[in-house]
Amino acid sequence: MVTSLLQDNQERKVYEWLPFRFDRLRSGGVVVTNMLGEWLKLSDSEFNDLAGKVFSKPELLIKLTSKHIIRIKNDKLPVRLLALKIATKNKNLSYATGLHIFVVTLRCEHACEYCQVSRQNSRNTEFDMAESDAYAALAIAFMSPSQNIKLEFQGGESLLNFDLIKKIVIRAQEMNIRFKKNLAFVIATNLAVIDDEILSFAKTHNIFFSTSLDGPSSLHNANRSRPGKNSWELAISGIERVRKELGHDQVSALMTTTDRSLTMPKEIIDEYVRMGFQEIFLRHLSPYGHAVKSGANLKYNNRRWLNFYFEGLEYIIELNRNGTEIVEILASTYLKKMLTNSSGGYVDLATPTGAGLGALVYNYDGDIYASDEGRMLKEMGDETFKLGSVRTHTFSDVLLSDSLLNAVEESFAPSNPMCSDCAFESHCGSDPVIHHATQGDFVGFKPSSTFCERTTEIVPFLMEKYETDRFCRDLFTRWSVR
Amino acid sequence: MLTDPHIVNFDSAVFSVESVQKAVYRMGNKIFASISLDRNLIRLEIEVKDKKATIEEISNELRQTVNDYSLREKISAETQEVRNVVLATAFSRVVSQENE
Repeated sequence: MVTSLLQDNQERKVYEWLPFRFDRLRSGGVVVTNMLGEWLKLSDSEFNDLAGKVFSKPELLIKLTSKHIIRIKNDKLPVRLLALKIATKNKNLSYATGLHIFVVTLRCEHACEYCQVSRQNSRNTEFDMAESDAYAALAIAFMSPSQNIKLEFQGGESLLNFDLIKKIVIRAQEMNIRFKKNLAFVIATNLAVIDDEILSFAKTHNIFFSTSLDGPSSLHNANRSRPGKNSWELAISGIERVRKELGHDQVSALMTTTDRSLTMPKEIIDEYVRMGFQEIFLRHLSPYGHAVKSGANLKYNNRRWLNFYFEGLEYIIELNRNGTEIVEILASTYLKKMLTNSSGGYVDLATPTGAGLGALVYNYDGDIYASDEGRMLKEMGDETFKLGSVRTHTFSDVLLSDSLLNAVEESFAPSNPMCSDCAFESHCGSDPVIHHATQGDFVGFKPSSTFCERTTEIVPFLMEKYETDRFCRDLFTRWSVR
Repeated sequence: MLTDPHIVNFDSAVFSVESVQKAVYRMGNKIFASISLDRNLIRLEIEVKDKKATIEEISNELRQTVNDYSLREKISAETQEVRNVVLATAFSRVVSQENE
């Protein structure tokens, strides 16, 4: 085979480039990606051959043709295969919007230092969503073309307005007799006020819980203060109660990374393992609220977060190597985009942006936002991502609003400066909200974008592990198809 | 701290202004640059933002980055037709899937 290809090449010299992108790695070598994002890591010498169209080495020729970087001149098959894969990756493009977030109240009995949503006293019901607004939001949600509709209830502490959650769930199920969507419910809660009535209702209506777990008790309670200083104790007992009544997998946990967390990646991961979670999302520092001070600070913090992330990811790999199965969600999302035809399914790493197209947020006062971060910006006095109101707007109004379309169009990564030539563009996303929050426009200045820095550091790290460590190759393949 | 301005020239018969502009943008967290045309030269007057990097290191990185953008420009021009065919075929499939 190798000999025949070599002879073929030497005799006919008919190979030509297909569209590809490349970037040099700091560790040496060059990453080359095809139109879909399928990639190869080449040595400098191999890349020079590709750039100079010197196709005399059979091993390189096979690598380049199999990844659709080059083709035999006028061969139609690579074009058809690329088109088919791109079509598969983008098949859900016009099926917006799957996630609908209802902010049922701003009330909360916690006083977390990183909270960006202006929590209100737990007895102040004027910050509860009105029933009429909730039903108007439901009408918008069911107009989404997406066949899969997930309704997520957030706060404040969402369970402080459990009566409204019950009404929304029951009304949604009644409406779904007609719409026949794949309907799912999630309650985002700190679990501090969960009781038997809530658990019983959740069991009857197959409701999933998403809670906060920042790490071991000292870290969690320092981050998440409440009367009694027992946030961690209540979260742990809440997780156990949900598992006992509804099943082990009916509750997931999400951490918020703070300054304190950055020195404790192993302790945080150990806490998730101890609690029997099989996945953890080592989330980056939020650029909203207190975290925004200056560009220099963000860059500094991003570097510290990357160190935290890589230490955590190495530890997770070692845990898996030693038989403890646990997935890191951000790596898994990148790997889906790197190794499969999936678009990743994560709003923050979607192209076009997942804001509005992947998720809509209905605030307690009936206003609609393109993302949860867009709502947080509003609490900082910035209404850029407000798309309308459930009282006056339809689903079409919202999706076709200038506020959303401008953000979608301007931030479209394949046509953004630097992104349009970047080898990692297919693995990355468009995030107009974070760039607007940190740099003042939807596109952002990429050389100092923390969003860009994360992808261009993490993806090469994953590629290196995948190429050099057989265990990681198998592990990452499993993470990419989960 | 900025260094004194330093001049780096590129032959305009070999490199496009666009390649040079893209390279300057990419290195925008490391340098300030003024671009001008001087007969057959693209002239860059650069100041280094990062005091830890030497002007020689920055100049070498700039030359490499301009070379890379020049190659990207060539790849893009040579493969534009096939890229359009792939995308047209791909999105005609998406549309037909939607209509099924």
